[in-house]
Amino acid sequence: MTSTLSRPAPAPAPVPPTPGQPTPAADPWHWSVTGASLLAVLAATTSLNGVVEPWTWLMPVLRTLVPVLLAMALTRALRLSAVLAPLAGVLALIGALTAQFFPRQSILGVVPGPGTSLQLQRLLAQAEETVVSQVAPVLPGAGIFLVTCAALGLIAIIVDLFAVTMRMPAASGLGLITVMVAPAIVKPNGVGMFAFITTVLAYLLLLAVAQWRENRLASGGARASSGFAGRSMIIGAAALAVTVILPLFVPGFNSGAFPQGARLNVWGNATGLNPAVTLGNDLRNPTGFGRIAYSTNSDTPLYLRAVTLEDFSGRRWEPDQRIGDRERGVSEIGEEQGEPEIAPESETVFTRITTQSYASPWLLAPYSPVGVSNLLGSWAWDPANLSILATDGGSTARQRYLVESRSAELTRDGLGAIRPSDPDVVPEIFTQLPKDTPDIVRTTTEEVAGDFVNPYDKALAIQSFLRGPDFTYSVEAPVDGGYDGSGMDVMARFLESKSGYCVHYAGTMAVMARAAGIPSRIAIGYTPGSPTGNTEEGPEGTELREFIVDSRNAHAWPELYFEGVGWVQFEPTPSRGVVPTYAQQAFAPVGPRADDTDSLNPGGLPDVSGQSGSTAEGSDAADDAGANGPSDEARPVDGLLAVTGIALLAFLPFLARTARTRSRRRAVAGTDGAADTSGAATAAWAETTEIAGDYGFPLQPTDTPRTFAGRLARDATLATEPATSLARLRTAFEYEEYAGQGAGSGLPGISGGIRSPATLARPTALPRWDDVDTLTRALRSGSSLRTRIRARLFPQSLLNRFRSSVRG
Amino acid sequence: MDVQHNIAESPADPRLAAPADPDVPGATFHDISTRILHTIETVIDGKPEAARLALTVLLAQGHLLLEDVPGVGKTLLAKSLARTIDCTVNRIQFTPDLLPSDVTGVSIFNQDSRRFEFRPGPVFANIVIGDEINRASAKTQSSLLECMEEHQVTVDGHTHLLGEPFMVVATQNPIEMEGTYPLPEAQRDRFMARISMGYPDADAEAAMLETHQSVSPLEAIRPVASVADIAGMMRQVRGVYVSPAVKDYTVAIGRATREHPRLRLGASPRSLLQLLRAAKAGAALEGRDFVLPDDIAATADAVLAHRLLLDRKATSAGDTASGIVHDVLSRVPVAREVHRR
Repeated sequence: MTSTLSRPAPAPAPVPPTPGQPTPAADPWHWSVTGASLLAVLAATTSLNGVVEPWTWLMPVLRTLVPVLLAMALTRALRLSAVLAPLAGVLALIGALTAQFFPRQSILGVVPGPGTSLQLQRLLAQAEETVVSQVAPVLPGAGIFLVTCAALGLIAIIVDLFAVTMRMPAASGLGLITVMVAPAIVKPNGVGMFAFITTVLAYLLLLAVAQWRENRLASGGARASSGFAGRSMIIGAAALAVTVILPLFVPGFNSGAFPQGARLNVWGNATGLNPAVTLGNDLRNPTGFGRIAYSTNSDTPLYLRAVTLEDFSGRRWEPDQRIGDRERGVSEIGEEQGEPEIAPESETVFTRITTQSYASPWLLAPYSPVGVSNLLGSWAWDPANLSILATDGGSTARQRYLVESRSAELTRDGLGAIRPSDPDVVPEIFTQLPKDTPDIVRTTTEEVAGDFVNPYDKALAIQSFLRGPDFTYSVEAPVDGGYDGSGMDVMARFLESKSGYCVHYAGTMAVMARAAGIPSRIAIGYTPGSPTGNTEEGPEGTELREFIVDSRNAHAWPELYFEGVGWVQFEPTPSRGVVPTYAQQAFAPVGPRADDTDSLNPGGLPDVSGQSGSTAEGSDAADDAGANGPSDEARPVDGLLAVTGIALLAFLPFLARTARTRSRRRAVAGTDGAADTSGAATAAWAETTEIAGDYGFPLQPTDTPRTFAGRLARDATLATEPATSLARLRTAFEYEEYAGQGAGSGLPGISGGIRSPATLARPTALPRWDDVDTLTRALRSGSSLRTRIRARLFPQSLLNRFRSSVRG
Repeated sequence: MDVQHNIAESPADPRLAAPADPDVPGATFHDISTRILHTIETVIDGKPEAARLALTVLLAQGHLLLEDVPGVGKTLLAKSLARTIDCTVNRIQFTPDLLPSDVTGVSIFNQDSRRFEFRPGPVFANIVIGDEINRASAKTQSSLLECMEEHQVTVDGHTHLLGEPFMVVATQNPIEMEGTYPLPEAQRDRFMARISMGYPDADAEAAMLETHQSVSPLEAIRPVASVADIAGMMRQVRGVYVSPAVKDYTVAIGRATREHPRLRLGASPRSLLQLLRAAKAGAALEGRDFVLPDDIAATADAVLAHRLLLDRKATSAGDTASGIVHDVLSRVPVAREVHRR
């Protein structure tokens, strides 16, 4: 019982077994550590929910990790050289990947065959395509899973190597962090609370299991101290609680769990091939980057358009490049498909755009452009939607170009007079609704616009519906609700939850318009921005007024096609952009229904100078709505979380203490009537000393049971009954601790002609939990309220135990 | 000098030969020890701890050193302990001119039988009281100490075994007193324990004046235990269980004395062994058949203090060996970390 005087001898230094030499000691416990490693990597992988579609990764990852870790554990079970474990892991990884991703090219299913290399290149290209063009969560695909599984397999090998072979389980955390880096960067909410907590818990479990194995190894397989797991759980849970609670109070951590507050954005400002990918992120960024300046002579607020979405099939909407249909050269841009033969009256608008750092292959231009000058690089325009795309891999960065565009002069009356017709002048892509269009889209459209006949009235009804009081603007709600992005199901979710931002409003209006028989597309670009007050001279002696837009002005809006008019812009997003005059609900009914109330732009359309101001205000209001609105909603939730967390933290010592008391009570009760009562008295005495410590009478290291009991009885002025209980507990402990197993029965008596057999009395002393309870009650009743609260909520014994384990 | 002159009580003393109390058949360890202690207390007022320690040393088969200024009852304690037991008791008054043979005995040529005959010295007794041992020369001291260690006497090539039990109770005046030869530390180490009697408190002293002025209570003592009783009790003490925890505690105390900054010489392994033995006897006197750390702590001062050598600084600072033993006891951890279970 060396623990009386010195700590137990430290476990032998973790020496990795010499290669080529089988490990001498039997070590069946490495299976547990490997199992914990698997759990830890899987837990870290839950952070991939949201990077790829939730849980789609589970089976491929399991099919990869299980063979890898099984192979490594088997080499250990077979006592093979330690260097073989990672080798076996790598081989198993190759086999698992081959079986999953290259079964046709494989030999015997697991050995990479001749065609594997080609298929590998194909899948890698597919993965790259996914990364570049899709918004998170990306759709599950073989390419992205191949990369994910390979990376996770390697990480699992490293984690297992650290935890089992090298016996440095703490270092395996590095591997787990590596898993979480990608989600931390890509996902709008960072790693996410669930994945973070799960990973930390799994990591703690790995540490505990590894320590348990160390103890078992050190004790040669005997039942070793089990306190470590409990201690590490207490420490870990406390640390976790702090990590979860702290961000709620530290400025900069807006929401979610660490490391969202310090999220990196390695993709910079690039918008990639799909501007919709970053639109939400741009809007959520409170700083506003990617400043673009433009000067225009337009009288109406100018939307800068980059690209349109018209293909509503597939789970993610992506702009169609239509490289083959594009026409090179943009100095003169021809007619758009479906443009009416007799164009409505229009005015020519000159816009000079300075892109600065804004980089995209899609050129920003006001609709509808007729020519672009001063542009560097090779560009082509699409007759289907007049989008302008760089064809030589160039981008808009550091360009200063002049766009000449036409702005049609539209009126409500003109639009309202358009009769419904079959619009066969536009390509089918603008009218098709995919087969999987959710019912809610059709039913809602029917409810909203079914009463109207003319397409313009239908469009206005849809716009009014979306701008109505039922819908709220929020850039965070889609993220929290898991429907951030685009796609038919996203629109359905938006219609249900009625909270989202421009992509959702624009997308939903476009979809509903198609459901109502109106061709539509979604334009992506920028709202008018704010004026700087500067002017410059434009071509033909015009005066151009300068405006500034940045990422916060990123916007999406629907364009609807009206026969004889062409593509007409609408603005269904509340508090964003400017509703064009023709799209404002009239005070007098235009169509058959007259009971619509108008809640849009009550002041009507201001002039441009005033309009600019109101745009800025609108923008600010939008920012406010974006920044404060959701956080105002989230605050009570945060507060509740914080209170819950603090309560949890505050009650953690109490819970841990109670749990220990319970386990001891069971230990003592379990020996009632049992032949083997070993450990019961010690457990009862441990509880006695700790309870006394909690109430301010701690056990000193130099205390013998007697000195401690004597001091406690004196200092706590115990009454007779608790004092007797204390004495009984002490005696029982003394017997169990110091009297040995066989002592007391086989002592030699006085022999050899003696007249009196002198024998030493040996009372039996069985521990009773009642005595502990009696003593506890006595200590409690003899203490002040403050001491009692401290003893329950912040038991000193836990702290001492922690200290002793630190010292140890 | 004639050896007989130094022997105060001879084995032939009729009172010592009287049988022990026959009314207590089936007496236990506890009964006997209680009787012995009770009897001693009738003579020595107000010093129950000293009496208890003396009995502890006897049962642990050690030797006792009583050290104090003259006149505090050292010899009285030794005598009363000896008289409570029905055994042979010799007393040696050590003087500077006492020779080794005066202690061990001599071979004398017998004219009649024309052979050398060994005439045993006063050391041949169950209990030997060595009064003022530090007055004798170093040579004589060491002859006694050899007997204590070996339990035998060798004269002219013949070895004579001493009887069992054998206990030397030596008294010593503090070394500052004139005309003394202080025991070297190697010889002090032979004594299991040293007791300083100290002055009795006022009440005890008044009671002593009252009872001792007319008759010597020593005269009234009758033996309450036989040699066989003591031998049996000694056997029982040897069988007392010492848990590994207690052994570790003992070792830790020893190491702490060796590492103590104010000690030149710490406790020897032999002293730890004696400490453990004394603790076993102490535990048995408490009615236990196992040793508690408290038993170790209770006997540590008596067993260890006289073996420790203080360094110069400690001496000049007025530290005592007892103080350092208590300091060590207050530092060595004993509380088992039960919460690890």
